[in-house]
Amino acid sequence: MTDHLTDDEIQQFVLSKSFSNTAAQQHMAMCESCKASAANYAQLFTVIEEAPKPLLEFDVVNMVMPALPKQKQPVVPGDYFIYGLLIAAIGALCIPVYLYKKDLARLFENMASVMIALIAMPVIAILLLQFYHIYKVYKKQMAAIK
Amino acid sequence: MAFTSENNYTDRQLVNRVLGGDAQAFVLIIKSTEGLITQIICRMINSIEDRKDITQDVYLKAYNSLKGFRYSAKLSTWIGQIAYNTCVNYLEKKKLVLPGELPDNETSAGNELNEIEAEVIVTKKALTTILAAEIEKLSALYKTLIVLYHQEELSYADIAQVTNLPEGTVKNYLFRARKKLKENILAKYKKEEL
Repeated sequence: MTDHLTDDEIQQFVLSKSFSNTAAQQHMAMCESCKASAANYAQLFTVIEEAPKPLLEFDVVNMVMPALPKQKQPVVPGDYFIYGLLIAAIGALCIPVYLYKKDLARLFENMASVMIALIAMPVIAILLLQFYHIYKVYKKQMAAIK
Repeated sequence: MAFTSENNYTDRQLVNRVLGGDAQAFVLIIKSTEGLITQIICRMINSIEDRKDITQDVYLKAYNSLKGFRYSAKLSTWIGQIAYNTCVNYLEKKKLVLPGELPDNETSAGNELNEIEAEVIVTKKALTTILAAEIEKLSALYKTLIVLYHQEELSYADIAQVTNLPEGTVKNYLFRARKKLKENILAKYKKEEL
């Protein structure tokens, strides 16, 4: 009988179910010791494969996700449209003010500054509230779409 | 090459979604790699508290480096590599046994055991119990190689990528790890029989 197969050869045989040379194959067919060794390896590999896998003691997703750095939200095309509209509106308001500034000045020159303040302040407050409301609705709708 | 994850998205699709600001895509990445990362971390790190920090560190590193992922390997292998390197750095920092070292004393029980192997019929139940304990006794590197190959079914090439070792070395270490495991189990079984 030839020398026993090496451990590496036996493992390789169990893993690939084939031999690289016929001498090794013939030896395995006859040698009870090598057969037993191969059977042990086959049993060992099966048990390792079927052994329960370890589990972490915590929820990885819940732990990792809040720790991720906040990404800058990319500017979507819709945002560009809104910004453009806002600039156009401000421009449309500023151009007549610039062109008719003398007439406007004349319009208010006889009014007391207290009166101007009394008119301007509520108007500005209402505009700000309106703007805030529109912005809130817009944000809510965008969140719903996402 | 387009590698596909368990969730049917290709690695490229998932990475692009994350880079485009879709954080939920990263949840899919975590879920598809969690098993592999758990195996690596649990086999290399004993402290439960440190496992937590390391797991978080691994995924944060992966998230921050995602832009640099070049698709030359599977995404799971790449994250596995980050996990392995993070564990190695941890072990080095704590001055614990490094996986690069091969601390397991190669026993000379091989020849002696060959004689008894033919007679020993280890029952599956007993073997499972002994196996769990014996795997834990192996070095961090051997443990990791065994589970990556036999439980996670990674190829030698993938394991080489995860551990930064040459493929031939991975094969060689795996042969030695299996041999050692078999010898230890047989020796243990024999002792219990006596």
